Amino acid sequence: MLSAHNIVAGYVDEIDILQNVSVDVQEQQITSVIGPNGSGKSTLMRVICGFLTPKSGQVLWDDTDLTGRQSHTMAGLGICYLPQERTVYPHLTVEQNIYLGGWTFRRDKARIRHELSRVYDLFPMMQERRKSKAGNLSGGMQKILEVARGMMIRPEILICDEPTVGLAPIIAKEVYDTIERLKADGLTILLVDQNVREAIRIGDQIYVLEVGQNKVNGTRAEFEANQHDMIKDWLQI
Amino acid sequence: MDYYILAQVINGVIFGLIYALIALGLTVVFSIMRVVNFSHGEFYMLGGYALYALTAGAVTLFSIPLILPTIVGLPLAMVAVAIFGILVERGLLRPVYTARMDRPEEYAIILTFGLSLFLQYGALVTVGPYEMTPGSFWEGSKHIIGDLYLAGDRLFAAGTSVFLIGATLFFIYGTWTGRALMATAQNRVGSTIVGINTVRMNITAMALAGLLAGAAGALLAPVFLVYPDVGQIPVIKGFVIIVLGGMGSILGAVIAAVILGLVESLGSVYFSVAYRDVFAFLVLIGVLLFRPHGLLGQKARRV
Repeated sequence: MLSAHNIVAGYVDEIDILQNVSVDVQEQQITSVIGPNGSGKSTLMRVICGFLTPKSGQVLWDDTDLTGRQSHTMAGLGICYLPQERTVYPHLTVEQNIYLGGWTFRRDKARIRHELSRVYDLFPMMQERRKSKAGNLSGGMQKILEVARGMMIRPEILICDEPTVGLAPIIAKEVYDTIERLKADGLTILLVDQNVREAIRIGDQIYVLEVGQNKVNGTRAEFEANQHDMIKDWLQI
Repeated sequence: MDYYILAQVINGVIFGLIYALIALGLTVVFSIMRVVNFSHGEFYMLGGYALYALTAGAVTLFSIPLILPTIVGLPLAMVAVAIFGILVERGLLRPVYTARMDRPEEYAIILTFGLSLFLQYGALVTVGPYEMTPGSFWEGSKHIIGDLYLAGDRLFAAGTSVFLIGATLFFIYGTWTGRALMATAQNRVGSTIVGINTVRMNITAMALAGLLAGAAGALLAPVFLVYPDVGQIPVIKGFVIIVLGGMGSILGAVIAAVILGLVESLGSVYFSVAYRDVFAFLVLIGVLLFRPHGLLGQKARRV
């Protein structure tokens, strides 16, 4: 469905953050990409979503070549990207935020209304807070608002970069529950996470990156058995 | 009430409205592009010259002197400055947010400052230091009430400003493009991921700034004449207003502009007209002492 082949990329000429990384995302599954700090997980997401043009390699979306495509055209293809940093519009209300999620089909008023009520059905807590400024929501709620806004386009894939970083464990759980719920509804998900346990627990396919290279990949069953050794290996104990 | 004072109050409001046109463009460009446009005063100047060129018969097109009615010249002058704004954005400011530049903010400051000087001296060389005056929008003095008379051109400037400010507020708060502008100002990445072309938002911001500054320059040209550095003082007022109103606040800028116009006007009456341009800064210092984020500005939020 979505695949990245032999990606080499970096922010400056001399240093390649990604040195030949490949990832293959299967439809209606959660694909987790894990790895220690600096392994290039976020950079890979930026390459896939058009925020960084790779030096070589290819990003394929079904049969469409996405390599080097402008980042603002991704939403129109049904790709929803949630980077690690906050992306809500803090001084707009929750409802205005979700509304703007429908930017790509803004001329179709009926569809905007329809999708808005669908998103509210999916995320009732957003409807309760529809008049609040997005910036006044808690960190976890802002993350869920980002997901809700992204659902306006009925994406085919959700690309989530460390959705729970900086959140309290109980709120992080809510975010993971949301992701699993969306998967149950048939959404394909590419998840990047440093929370190895959770990423393996909810992931169907797991990729491990290390210093810009594929280290190992496999299914959840294969990983659950080796999790202990793997973490020990990372911590070098 | 003394008609003289009333006239000064009305004059203050009129200047405030014109200042608001200037400040709105500055604040929109700053919010969207994070560029402080030091050449904004020259956009204002170009509006005045464009009106003059189109209406005074000094310019010939296919050997026919251009003598359009001023009322037709105004929208044309606005569009001309808007196009100039787009060219500046496309040609000069683009590296700020596309190329991998080490210090984009400093580049933008030096660039717009240089452009400001270039345009001032360019005007000096090409049309000379003379004060030029395009025709009137609404000739003569108009009787308002009792002994109160006001220049038709000032009334026209005020009415047009109110219309343009209203149109701008509607555009920003009431249309999809306007909401996308706000979204881009508040979170650029967040706008890109929903499909907003932020480069197009930059162009929109510069075009809007050009339209409004061009309008301000053209509206005041029959009142105050046009000369190469006519935009210098108004742009400083514009900067004061956007800080006073709260950086990035559209409504704050309008309110601050009218307050500034009133303070200047009444200050000139009660103290001395010689200090006219000082009042702006006294108000600024006063407000910032008590509200460091401006009248309607958002408090800085740091995570």
